[in-house]
Amino acid sequence: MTPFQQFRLWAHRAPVAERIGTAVVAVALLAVLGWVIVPVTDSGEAAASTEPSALTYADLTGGSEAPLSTGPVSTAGQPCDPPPADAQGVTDDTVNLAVVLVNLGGAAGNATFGLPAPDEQEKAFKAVAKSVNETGGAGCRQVALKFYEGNPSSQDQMHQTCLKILQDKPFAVLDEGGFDTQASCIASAKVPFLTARLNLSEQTKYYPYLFANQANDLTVRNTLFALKDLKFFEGDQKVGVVYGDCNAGLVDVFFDSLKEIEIPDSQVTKYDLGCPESFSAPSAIQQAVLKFKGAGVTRVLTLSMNKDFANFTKTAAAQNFKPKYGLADNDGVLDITYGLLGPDFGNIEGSIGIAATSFGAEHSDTPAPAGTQACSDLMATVGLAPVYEELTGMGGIACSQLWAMQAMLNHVDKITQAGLAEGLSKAGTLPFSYPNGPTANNDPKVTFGGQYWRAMEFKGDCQCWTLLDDTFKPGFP
Amino acid sequence: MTIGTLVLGLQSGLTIGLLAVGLVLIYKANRFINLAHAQLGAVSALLVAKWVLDEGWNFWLAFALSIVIGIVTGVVVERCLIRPVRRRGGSSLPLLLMSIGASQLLLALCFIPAFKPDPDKAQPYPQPFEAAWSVGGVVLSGMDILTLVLVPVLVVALAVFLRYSRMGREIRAAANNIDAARLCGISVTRVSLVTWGIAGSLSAVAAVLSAPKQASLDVVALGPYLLMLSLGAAAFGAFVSLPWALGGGLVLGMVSRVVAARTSNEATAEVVTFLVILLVVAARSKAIGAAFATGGAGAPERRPVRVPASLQSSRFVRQGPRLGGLLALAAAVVLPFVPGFNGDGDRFLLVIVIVYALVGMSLTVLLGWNGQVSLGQFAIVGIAAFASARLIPHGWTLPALMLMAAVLGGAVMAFVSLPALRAAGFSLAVTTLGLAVVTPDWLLQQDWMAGPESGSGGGLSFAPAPVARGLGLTDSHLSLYFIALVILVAVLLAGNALRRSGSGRLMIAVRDNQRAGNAFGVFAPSVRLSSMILCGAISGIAGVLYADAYGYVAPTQFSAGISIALLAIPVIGGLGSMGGAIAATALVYLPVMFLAPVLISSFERLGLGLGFQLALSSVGIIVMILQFPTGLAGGVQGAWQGILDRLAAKRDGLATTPADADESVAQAVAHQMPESAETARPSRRAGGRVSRRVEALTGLVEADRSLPLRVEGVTWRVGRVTILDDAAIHVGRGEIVGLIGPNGAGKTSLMNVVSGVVSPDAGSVSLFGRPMVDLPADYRAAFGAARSFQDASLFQGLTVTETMQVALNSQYRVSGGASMLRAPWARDAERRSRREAVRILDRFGLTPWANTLTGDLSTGTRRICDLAAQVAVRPRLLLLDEPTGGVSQHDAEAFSPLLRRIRDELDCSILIVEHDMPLLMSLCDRVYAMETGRVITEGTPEEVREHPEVIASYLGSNEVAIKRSGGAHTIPAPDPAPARPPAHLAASTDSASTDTEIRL
Repeated sequence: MTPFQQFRLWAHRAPVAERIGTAVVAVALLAVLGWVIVPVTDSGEAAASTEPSALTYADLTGGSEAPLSTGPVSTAGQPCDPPPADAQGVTDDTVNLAVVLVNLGGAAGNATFGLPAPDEQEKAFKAVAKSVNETGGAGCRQVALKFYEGNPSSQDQMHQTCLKILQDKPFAVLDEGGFDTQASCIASAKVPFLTARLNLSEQTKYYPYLFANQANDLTVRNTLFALKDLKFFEGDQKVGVVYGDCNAGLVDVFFDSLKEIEIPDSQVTKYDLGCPESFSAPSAIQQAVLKFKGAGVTRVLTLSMNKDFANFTKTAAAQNFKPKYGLADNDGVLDITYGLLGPDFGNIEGSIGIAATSFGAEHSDTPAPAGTQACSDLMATVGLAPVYEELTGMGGIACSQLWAMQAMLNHVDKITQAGLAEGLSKAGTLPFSYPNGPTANNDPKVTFGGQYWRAMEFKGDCQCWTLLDDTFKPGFP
Repeated sequence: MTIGTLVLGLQSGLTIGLLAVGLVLIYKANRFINLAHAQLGAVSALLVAKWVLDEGWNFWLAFALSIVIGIVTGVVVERCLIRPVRRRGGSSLPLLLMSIGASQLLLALCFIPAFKPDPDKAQPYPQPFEAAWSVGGVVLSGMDILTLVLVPVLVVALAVFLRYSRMGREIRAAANNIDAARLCGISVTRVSLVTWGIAGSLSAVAAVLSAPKQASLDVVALGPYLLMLSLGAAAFGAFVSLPWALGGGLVLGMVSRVVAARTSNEATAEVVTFLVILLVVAARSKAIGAAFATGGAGAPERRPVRVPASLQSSRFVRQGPRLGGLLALAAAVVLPFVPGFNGDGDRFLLVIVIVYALVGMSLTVLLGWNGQVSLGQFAIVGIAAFASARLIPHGWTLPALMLMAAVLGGAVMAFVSLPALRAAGFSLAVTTLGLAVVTPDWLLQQDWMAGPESGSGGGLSFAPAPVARGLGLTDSHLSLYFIALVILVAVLLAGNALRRSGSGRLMIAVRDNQRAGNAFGVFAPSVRLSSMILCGAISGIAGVLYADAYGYVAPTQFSAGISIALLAIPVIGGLGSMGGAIAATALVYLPVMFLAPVLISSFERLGLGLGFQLALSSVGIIVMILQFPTGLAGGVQGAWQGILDRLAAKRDGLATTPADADESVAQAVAHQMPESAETARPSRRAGGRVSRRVEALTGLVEADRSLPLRVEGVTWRVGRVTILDDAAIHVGRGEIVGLIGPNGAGKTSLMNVVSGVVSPDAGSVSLFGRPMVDLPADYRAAFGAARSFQDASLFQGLTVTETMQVALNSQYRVSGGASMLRAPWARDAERRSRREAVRILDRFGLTPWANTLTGDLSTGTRRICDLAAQVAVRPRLLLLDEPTGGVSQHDAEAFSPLLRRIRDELDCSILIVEHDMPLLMSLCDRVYAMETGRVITEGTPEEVREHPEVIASYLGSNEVAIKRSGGAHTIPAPDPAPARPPAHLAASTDSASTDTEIRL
C-alpha cells in the first residue's frame, strides 16, 4: 500500500474523534505556517512621484472662481522667445504629442456609442494643431501630432499602444476618453497625460503628470450637492440608487456624499448591479426596477451604469415606473443619450443632469461662447460638423486639449514634463470649447477641470438636454 | 420575498430552462456542450424585428418564419460544421470547440446590416400583442405572457415527442447507443439533423422571447453568465433529462432572483447561484459522468512516429525533432529583435503571447491528458495576477511570486474541481465556467482581493517586480520576455518529462479507462486532482508574468470570454502535445496581436469592424478543426513520418509495411526465450513497511489470511431490480474458480463488487482476510488482486509498452515532481520499468506491437495485451471477465494452458467468468453457477455440469450443448484434427497440442 492509500484507509476507518483532532491540528499548523512565511513589511509601497505633494480629495472644498484667461493664446505675428526645454519629445522648434483616437471596432462600433469614426477624430486634431501652429505654436514651437488608436475592448492592444507611445518618447499624450485605463502606464513613465475623466486618487498618486477635464469623484460629489441645491430631494422623496460597482472608490465617495447632504439611510433604497462584463442581465434590471417600485422610490440616482441606463429606463417605462432621475455626467451617461444605446426619452423626461462640462449648451438659446465658436470654425475647415452638432463633443475635446497644451507651454519658464502643471496654474482659467467648460487652474495642485459644472433638464418636446439656468451658481463649498 | 420576485424568478427561470433544454437535446444526440446554442436563434430574433418594424409584417407570421430560419440555421450548422467532425469519431472536445467557432460565425452574421432593423427608427422590439397585466407589481407585456405560456408547452411537447413519436424514440435510441441504433436501421445522420433542427427552433424561440429585454439586439448572445446558468440547469438533469433541465432552470432563476431581492446585489446573487451549481454538480457528478461515458471521451491520438529500421542508427533521424525544437527556440530568441516585433509594446505583446501559451499548456494537461474541459482557466491567471499586484509593492521577488502563484493557482483549481473529481466529462466545464464568471464580476472586486487603492477602472497599478534579490527590476519588456521564455521552455521540458513518466501515463490511463486504471491500483480522483493542481499552478505562474508585464491589473482584463477562447489552443495544437500548444498559440495569437489591427483598420471603412473580427476568428477555428484533426502536432508528426518513410525508401528501395510487422509477430512468439527461475518468481514488496496501525485499520481476520477471496451475503439492487441476491463465493489459494450462468445472472456484477467497481447494499468482501467492501477499487490491487474487463479496452491513448508500465506502476512509483525535474532516481525507475515492460512484451509475443497504441490492436492481440498487463501487476488473485470474448476459437483454446501456467508461476488464484464451457471445464478446479443474482450451486466442473438447475437455466436440456460443454457423453468431434494454438500464441505452429510455449 502506498502512503497515500494508508492515509485514505485511515481517513476511512479511523475513529471519528481521532480524525477530527487531526484535522484541527492540521489547520492550526497551516495557519502557523502561513503566518510565518507571509511577509508583513509595508516598506515596498510604490511611490510614483517625488514631485510636490498633490491635492487630495479631502483637500477639496469645491471650485473657486479665478480671473478668466484671454482665451486661446494667440501669439501670431508677435516675436517669440522659446523657453528652454529639458524634456523628451521637445526640440528647438517642435513639440511632439501623441494622440490616442477611440476605435471601438471601426466606424460602426464607434457609432454604437455615438462617437465619430477614428478618421474624423484625426481630422479634428489636425485642424486644431494647424491652427495652433499658425498662431505661434505652443511654447514658441510647432506642435507635431502622432496618432495611435485605442480599442477599450482589447486590453492587450491598449497596453501595447501605451508602450508604443512611450517608446516614441512624446512630450505628452492626449486622449479623448477611451484610453484612461492606461493613465498609470503613461504617468508612471513621467509623461503628461491629458484625458477626459479620471479619479482624483489616481491624479494624486501620479501628480503632476495626469490632467483630466474632470475628476470623477468630484463630479459625483458636486452632482449630489447640486441636486440638493436644486431641491431635488425636497418633499420627503424616496431615493433609489442603482449603480455598478466596478469602481469601488467612486461608490464610497457617492454614499459618503449622500450622507454629507443629509439624506438619511431610511430614505434610500440601493441596488448594486455588480460589475458585469458587458451589459447587466435583463432580470437584474427588472429586479432593480421592481425593488424601487415596491419601495415607493420617486427619485433615482445612477452611478457607473452608462451601458445599462438605456435598458433601465426602457424597463422602467414598461413597468410603469416613472421616477425623476438625477444623473451625474462622470461616466458619460448624458453623452450617450443620443447614441444607439439611448434611454427611453419618455421615462427620463424632466430628469436633472449635472455636468462638469458645458453639455446642454448646444440646446440653449444663448450664443456659443468664443472657444466653442472658434472650434466650430476650425472643424468647418476640414468639413466636420460644428461642435454643437457632434454631440459627444470629440471635436471640441481636440480643441480644448490642444489649447490647454498651448496655454500651459506658453506659461512656463522652462519646458519640462513635471513643470506642465505649473504652466496650467499660470494660465489660470481657460475658455475651452464645448463640451468642456472653463476651468479654474490657478492652484498648481489642480490638474483637472470641471469646477464650473452646470445643471440641465431633459425636455420631452425636443428630446434633448437643456440648461436649467445659465447663470446658476453653486451654493455649497 | 414578494410575489413580484417570484414572477421575475419564473420569467428568468423559463428563459434559462429553455436554453438548457436545447443544450440537453444536443448533448443527448451528440454528447457535447453546444456553446453556439443561443446564437442559433440570434439572426432569427433580428429578422423578426426587421420584418415587423421595417416591413410592417404581422408578428406571428414573422415569428413563424423566424422559427423556420432557426431550423435552417441548426441544420446548416450540423451539416457543414458538426457532421464532418463527428464523422471522424473520437473525442467530443473538437465538437465543443467547433461550437465556439460556430457561435462566433453566427454572431458575426448579426453585424450584417441587411439582417438588422433600421437603427435610425429606434423602435422598441415588437410585441406579439398589447398587454399590461400586473402580477405582484410586475407588469407583464405580451411577450412575457407568451413566454409563460409557450415555454412549458414547448418543453412538454418536446418530451412527448421524444417519448411517443417514432423519431423521438430514434433520437433517444441513437443517444443511448449509437452503434446499436445503426444496427437497428436507424439513420443516425437523419436523427442528428432533426435534433439540430429542433435545437435551432428552440433557440430561435428563446431569442425572440427574450429580445425585448435585451440591452442591444447585437448582443442577443449566450453570454458567459447565462451560459453558466444554462449549463447549471442542464446539470440538474445530468445533461440528459429535459424536464429536469427546465426544472433546474426554474430553480436557478428563482435562487438568483430571491437572493438579489434580499441583498439588492447582483454579484452576491451570482456567487450564491454559482455555489448552488457547484453543489448540484457535486451531487450529480456520477450521473453526469455516466451520461458522458456512454459517448466515449477519448481524445484523438497521434500515432507514435515509426522509425524504419534502416534509419534507426541515423543521427539526423534521432536528433531531428530535437533540432526542430532548437530552431524554434532560436527563432523565439531572435524574434524580439526583428523589425515589427522589436518595439517595447511589441515585446509586451510577445510576453502576453507566452502567457497565453502557458495557459494553453495548462489546458493541454487538462484536456489532452485528462479529458477534462476547463472554461475558466484565465480566471486563475487573474487571481494570481491580483495576488501578485498586492504583493509586488511589498518587495516580493519574481521567484517568490511564482511560487506563491503556483500554490494559489493549484489551490483554486483544486477547489473548483472537487465536485467534478469523481467523473470525467463536462462537470468541470460547468464549475470552471462559474469560476470564470464569478472571478471578474465578484472576486476581483472585493476589497480583500483588490485592496483599497483601485483606479478608475477598479484596478491596481504597481512598479515592476524585482527579478531576484540584487538582480534589479523587470522594468524592460525585453528582459521580461526572456524570463517568460525561460519559464515557457522549463514548463515545456517538465511537461514532456511528466508525460513520458509514470505519472503522465496514469493521467492518460485514467482519461481513457478509469475502471481499468482502478484495477491496476490507480486512484483516479487523486490522479485527476494532481493534474488539476498542476494545471492551476501553470496558470498561476502565467498570472505573475501577466501582472508584471502590465504593471496594472483590473477585473475587466480577465473576462470569461478569454477563457473560452483559449480552449482552442490545445485542440489546434493537437490534444496532448505541449509543443503543439505553444505552436498553436503562436499561430493564433501572433497574427491576432500583430496582424489583426492592420487588417481591421483596412476593413473598418466598410463599417464591419467588430463583425469582421468575429468572422475572422471563427473561420480560423473552423478551418483548423476541419483540416487538421490531429492539430499542428499531428501535422508536423505526419510530415516527419513522411520524410522518414521517403528516406527509408530511398535507402532500402522499399518501406516497411505493417504486414511485415504482423509477420514478425508469429516469428517472435515462435522463438520465445525460456523463463529463468529468478524472473519467474514475482518479487513482492516488503510488507513490513506497513505500520501496525495501518495493519489494524485493515481489519485483518487472521484466520482468513490465506484465503484470497471470501464473498458473503452480497446483495446489490439498482432501483427495484435485485442484481445480486445474497451471493456468496470463496476462492482458495492456488485455485482456479469459474463463474458461470446465463446473461444477466450477475456474474460480472459480482466481479464488479469484488473488484470495488460497485458498492453492494449488503454483504462483505474480503481479500486475504481483509474486509474490502467499503474501500475504493484501487485497494484491491494493493492487496494483490488484478482484474480484466469484458471489453479489454485498456487505454487507447497509450502504447502497448506504456500499458505494461501502467501495470508496473506500483513497483516503480516515482513522484510527479521528480519526474518533471528528471531526477536521477526518476530516470532510473523509468529505465527499469521500461526494461521490465519490454521483457513482459517479449514473453507474450507482443514486441512487434510495443510502440502501437492499444486502441489500434485487434481484439485478440488486445486480450493478450490485457492479460500481459494483469500478469505484470504480479497478482495473488486474478479476476478475469470473459477473457476469450471476441477471440477466435483458435486463440481461445490457447487460454487454458496459458492461464494454468500463469497460476502456477505466479502462485496466484484465479476467478474467471466465461461462457466458453469447454475452456472452463478444462481449466477450473471449482465452478460456481449463478442465476438471477443468486449462486445456485458450486462444485467441481463435473458436479456443476450435472446439476439440474444449471442444466435447466444455463446449459439447457439439449444433449449436444451439454456434450459440447464437455459432458460425460461426449460425442466425437466432427473434425478429427487437433486444435491448434492461435498464430500469435503458439510457440510451435506445427504442434498438435493446445499447449503453448509462452512462459511466464
